[in-house]
Amino acid sequence: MDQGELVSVAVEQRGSPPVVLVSVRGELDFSTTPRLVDALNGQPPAGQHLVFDLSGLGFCDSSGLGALIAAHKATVAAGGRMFLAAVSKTVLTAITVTSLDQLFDIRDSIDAVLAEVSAA
Amino acid sequence: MSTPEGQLDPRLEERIRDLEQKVARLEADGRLVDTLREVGLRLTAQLDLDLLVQQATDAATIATGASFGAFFYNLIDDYGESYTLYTISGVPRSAFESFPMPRNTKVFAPTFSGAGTVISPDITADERYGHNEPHLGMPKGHLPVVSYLAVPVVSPTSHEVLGGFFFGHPDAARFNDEHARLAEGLAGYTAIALDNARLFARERTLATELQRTMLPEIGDVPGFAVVPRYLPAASGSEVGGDWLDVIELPGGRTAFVIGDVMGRGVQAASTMGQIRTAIRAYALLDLTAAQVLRHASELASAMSGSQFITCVYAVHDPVTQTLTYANAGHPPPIVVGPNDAPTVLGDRLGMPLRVGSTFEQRTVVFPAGSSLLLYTDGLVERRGLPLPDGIELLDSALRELLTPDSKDLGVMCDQLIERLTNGAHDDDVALLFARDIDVPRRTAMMALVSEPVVASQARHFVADTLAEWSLTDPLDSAAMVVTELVSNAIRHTGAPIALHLYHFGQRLVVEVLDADDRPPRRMQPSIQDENHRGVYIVDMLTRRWGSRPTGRGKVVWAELVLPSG
Repeated sequence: MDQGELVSVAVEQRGSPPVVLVSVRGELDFSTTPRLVDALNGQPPAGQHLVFDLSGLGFCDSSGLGALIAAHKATVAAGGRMFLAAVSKTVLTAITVTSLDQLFDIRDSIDAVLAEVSAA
Repeated sequence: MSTPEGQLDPRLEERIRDLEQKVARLEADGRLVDTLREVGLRLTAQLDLDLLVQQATDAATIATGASFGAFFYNLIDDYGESYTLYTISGVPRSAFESFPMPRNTKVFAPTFSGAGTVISPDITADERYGHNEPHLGMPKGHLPVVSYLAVPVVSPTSHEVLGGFFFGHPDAARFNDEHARLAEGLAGYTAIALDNARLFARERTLATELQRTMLPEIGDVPGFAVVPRYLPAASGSEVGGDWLDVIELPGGRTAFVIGDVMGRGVQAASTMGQIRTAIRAYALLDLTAAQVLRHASELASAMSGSQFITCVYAVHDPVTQTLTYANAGHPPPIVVGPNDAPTVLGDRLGMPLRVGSTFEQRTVVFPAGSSLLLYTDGLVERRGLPLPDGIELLDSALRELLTPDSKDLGVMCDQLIERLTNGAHDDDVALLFARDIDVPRRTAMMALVSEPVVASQARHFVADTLAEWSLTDPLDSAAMVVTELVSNAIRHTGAPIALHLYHFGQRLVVEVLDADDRPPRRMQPSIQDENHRGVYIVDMLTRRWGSRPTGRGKVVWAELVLPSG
């Protein structure tokens, strides 16, 4: 099986003020999480917000959660906020059983995040 | 002596009268002593409280010549509150039923406070009589009391007032000093007897309660029909130290335990409770049968007391269909294959707990439909009957009573006990019978390779298998648990071997085998912690999880509960 098929990560700038939008598709486990970690290297630029579109993410294990925690720390350290949007039920379960719903800002959709950010 | 013919010297007459009185007094003393001795013997041998107080009241009423007597005594209920009961002698109980309990009036106070005997030729003329509302004396309808005698009953050990005897007679001046002494003597015996009965009841209640709280409720065990039986000794009142236990282990396995602490009473019961609890704890740590007994023996050696303890610990594994057992000097377990005659597992595998320090274990086949019988020596040991003969009797009784069609296994066990003991056993009898009732079990297995992609493969294997088993509900949880366990096996051991899925009743068990015998560590990650979250996820999503050594590595297992229905 090609590991590339298991997960794909796309990073783009979106909205005004610009946010870094990261779309993760596939499954995150300890074999695929390094791809996410690589893609997030240096993100987000200082002061920008980091937004994850998780609508295409079907699974996330503890290593994937670890990468999200690291991204959260980096974003907050750079003066931004991090949002998780369109989280699937399976991934939400992984987040809630580990109490990370207390750490992450979770929104229903990308639009909801963008509206919140531009209003701020 | 010069006296008129036919007349005795008056001084002589006086001496004769004097002597006659002395003889009468001695006779009376003798009767008093005899009465006291006879009643005292009877009372102090009586441990049944109700019988004791009635006998004491009857004896004292007769001895004092009262027309009726009563004994009021105080008891403490389960909540520590004092209450008063009474017995009546000489008249029917109904003669008193409509009256309130006597209060601490001037007449009664010396008795209830233990101050001393009250004797009155006419209590109604006594200055202490008739001061209390509403009755100002005896309540209306009370049997007429003129002569009155009352004696307190005081505990010789605690000096508390246990109660009081009250005697009445409708005529005046019926009680003399002799009656008072008799009543006091009987009160003394009654106090001793009450003390004995209370101490005895306390000890027996304590021991029985201790034993009851320490014996487990043997509930349903998935896949087994289990019959527990515990019959206290027919004679004797002290509880014994027999116990039995059934413990659900991970992976659908079940441990069956029977044991016997030698000796009786509170000490045996408390030792039993501690050892039973310890064995439960060791069992849940997933130690081997031999290890469980070794640890229990070490613990028992360190405990106070010296009674030795015999025990059988047997583990059934439904996947391999085997029974693995260790025996610490206990009568041998018996297994019966579905279509076989009973087999007595008579291997000498170890000495009793507290004595032995190493134990061996054996594994025998235990195909679906097999039965296991564990029992204590009370079932097979008779006076004059050597233990091997008793076991042989049990073996042949089992051959006769247990058939593959035996429907009511409880009745079968009762018949077995009846046959072996003839309904009279001088030791406690404990028995644990378990038959594998062969409910459907499903297993699926996947080989694991040490490559990162294997976690994803394992998830798909879980999804496919659960779909095939029509178990869609725990899919998310199962996928998460499997991913974490497989990831750990790869990252921390580098030597994953296999993934087992095991479905049985309401349980789904995930097992990951690896070739590393170091147990996994449980971490409590802080919320910002990027690592150590895997085992925590397993912990949160499963009913329980753990690991056990396999001899060439370990199994890390986790048990998920399926919704019923």
